[in-house]
Amino acid sequence: MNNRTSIRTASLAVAASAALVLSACGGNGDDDENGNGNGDNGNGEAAETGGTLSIANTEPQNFMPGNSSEVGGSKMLEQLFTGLTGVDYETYEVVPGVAESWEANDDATVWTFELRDDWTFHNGDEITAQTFVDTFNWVVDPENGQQNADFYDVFLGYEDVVEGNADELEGVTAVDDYTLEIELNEPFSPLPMMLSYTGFYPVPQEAFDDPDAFEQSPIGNGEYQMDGEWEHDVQVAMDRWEDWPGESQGGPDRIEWRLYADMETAYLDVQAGELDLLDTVPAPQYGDYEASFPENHAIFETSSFEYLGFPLYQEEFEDPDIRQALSMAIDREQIIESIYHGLRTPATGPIPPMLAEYREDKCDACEYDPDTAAELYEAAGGPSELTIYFNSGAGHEEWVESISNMWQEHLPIDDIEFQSLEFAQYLDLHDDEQIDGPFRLGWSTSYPNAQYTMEPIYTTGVSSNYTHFNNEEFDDLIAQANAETDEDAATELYQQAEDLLLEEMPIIPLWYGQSVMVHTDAIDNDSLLMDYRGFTRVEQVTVLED
Amino acid sequence: MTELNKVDASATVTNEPAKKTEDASLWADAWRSLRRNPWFITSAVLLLILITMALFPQLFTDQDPRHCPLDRSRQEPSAEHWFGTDIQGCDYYSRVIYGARNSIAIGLIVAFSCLGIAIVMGLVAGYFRGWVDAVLGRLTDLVFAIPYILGALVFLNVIETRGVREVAFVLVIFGWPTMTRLMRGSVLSVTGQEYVLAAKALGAKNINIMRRHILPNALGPVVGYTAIYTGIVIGAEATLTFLGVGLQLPAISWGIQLNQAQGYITQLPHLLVFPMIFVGLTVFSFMIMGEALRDAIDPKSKKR
Repeated sequence: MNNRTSIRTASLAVAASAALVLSACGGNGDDDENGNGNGDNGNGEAAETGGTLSIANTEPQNFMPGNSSEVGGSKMLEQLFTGLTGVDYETYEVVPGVAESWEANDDATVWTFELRDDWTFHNGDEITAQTFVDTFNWVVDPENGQQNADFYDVFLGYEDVVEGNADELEGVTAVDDYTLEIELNEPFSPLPMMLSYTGFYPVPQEAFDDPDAFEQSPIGNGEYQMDGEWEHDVQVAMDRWEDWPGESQGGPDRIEWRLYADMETAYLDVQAGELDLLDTVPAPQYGDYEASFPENHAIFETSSFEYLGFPLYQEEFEDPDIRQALSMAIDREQIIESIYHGLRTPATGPIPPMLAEYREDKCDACEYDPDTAAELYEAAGGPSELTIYFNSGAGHEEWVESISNMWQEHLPIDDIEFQSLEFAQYLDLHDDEQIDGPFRLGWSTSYPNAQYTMEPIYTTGVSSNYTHFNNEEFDDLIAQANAETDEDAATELYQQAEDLLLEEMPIIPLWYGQSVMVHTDAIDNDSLLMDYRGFTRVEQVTVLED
Repeated sequence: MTELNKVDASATVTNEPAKKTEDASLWADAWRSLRRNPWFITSAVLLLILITMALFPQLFTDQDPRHCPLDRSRQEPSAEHWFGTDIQGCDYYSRVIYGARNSIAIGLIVAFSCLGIAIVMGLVAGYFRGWVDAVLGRLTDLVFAIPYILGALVFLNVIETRGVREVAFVLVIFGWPTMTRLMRGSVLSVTGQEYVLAAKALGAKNINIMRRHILPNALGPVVGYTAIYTGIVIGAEATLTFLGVGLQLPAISWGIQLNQAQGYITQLPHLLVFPMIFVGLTVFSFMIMGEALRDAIDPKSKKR
């Protein structure tokens, strides 16, 4: 299960780009013309296409859908591939991809997907149900070491394949050429939503034959195809694939992803007109972008969720009162204003504002109340010395320092130390249970569903449960919600689970992310939209000039 | 300046012929030339202020550098906050004042530790020569071959918790060879002198020869260099901390201030300028002090 970890890992490590999930709330992004993604499959008489878009990105860790767990690679793979399903970027509903329809049995354990018959890969290979069977089996096979394998853990037969007792997933079968059946271990109604994720994209036979070569120039079935190879640390170029069976939203004919090690350089390049678009302005430029790009900027709320977790396995943090007191002593609004120039949204729980399950006033202990906090902390006998853990090199120092100042000022705490470590080291420390103070982590939504915001982090025994939160009632609520096929009922169950989390407070919710984009005059500001994963919908950006 | 020294020296000879004691004359002579040297006076005054700042920062400010209300962050310099406030809303003037301690502490610890190592190794190598010199010489070359900033970068990078001790330790490890070479050379030149040969002929013990005859006469160049080196180390500490491998928060240090200010060069230049001035002044003072000392003590540079 280590892999969900790495998803988060990578996206967090990339400083500001950690921002994820969307919610088109900023200055724009509500352009109806460019509306929903793969929605209706009518004839794609789309908006004007054309031009070349250059956009800043980070060097991908790897470039194989099954193995791509960070933002840099996933952003580009999303243009090269189309999954079974997609997501509407405005309503966050599942829309058809390669599959045109699907249905589940009554308890959501057996799912049948009907595939369209006109999908091929860029190289002409036909895509059938068997393509998905082969892909899924290959990704899960431990020999291939694919980081996204653990997303498949609800599939029947997953354990057997992982443990080497079987070669293929028992639950995945091609009923005929265009009918795919997926059987699950347990009821799981968010399945169609989950299948929109990068780790489920179909790959052609060539990928299995020589994965390393494939990664240099992936052959997919998406709206864009590779032009040449992945030039490491320089760029990835892709051209529009004219035969794409999906509905095009217009957008550029060619996308050049420029790979930057440092987004501050990218920022300067946009200023110099060398680069068209930077979608994650680094935090130090938050005070500058309005002056430098008075017209050419856009702000999007994302739902990357940042929090401080507690090592519940340490005695001094066992009492929920202590955890709540620490939360109440943080003035989130002030930190957001002073450190982030207002470019964060105070968090009230793990479910981000873009989801239907979100509620604004659900977290009492997220309100700033230093007096109550001090009383509570003193009464519960909270520790007078603390160490705060966070990963280094990602711009966390400033707000950690602010929180530390607030805690020392309001609570009976004399001394706070900082431990900042490389992300890999940091995770090792968690695995060894060596953390003895509040630790910083974030979570980004790979697919927009309340289940994904909680189950992988807080249920008993899962690998990303770094707090060691262990609560039967919570586990039951999540299981019930996953099994619930009625949406409203599921929503209510997820909300109850969230309430329980906020009461027990294994983590202190801090804030949800926001992303600032800046661009040159070559880009139409109204065409910009950032989705729930913090990805700019490049396929619908309008390029005005070259 | 040399002329000035000459005049001074001759004046002394005529006016105070009574003062003698053989090894005091070198140092007394140095002192006489130093107090006439305006560079020495300037650097001494500056250093006096800076060291007082490091020892008793509260004399210079009544603000608490750790009182940081976030609602007054990012203020420009004003009557109330001379250097403005930083991102966290701390009074920047008091932060900069309190930053002197760590920088100067590291500078002095490293320079004097290196001096200690250099004296011992230089004396032993220069006096005994032969295989002892060869072994110590190669060892020195070995460490000398590693650029010390690079070596410190690599080492500090793997140390998780870095305080004054850790940073100083690593800088000593990579910093001692230069001074050791200097000391060895100086010892070599003294060892050949007649009075050393005379002492040997009289059957004096090695340890006594080294202590009474060689050390006082060989120390000159190294003492001057120690002061210069203190300046270099302070610069190195600021550099390393700036690069993120030196001191760590919540310590207060100029390097950390520079590091935190680097993202705000265009928006809040004062955050960068003030600690930079202080680092510059401190390094400058130590260097000038070192030059002056060397001019005064080192007979070779005097001849020039």
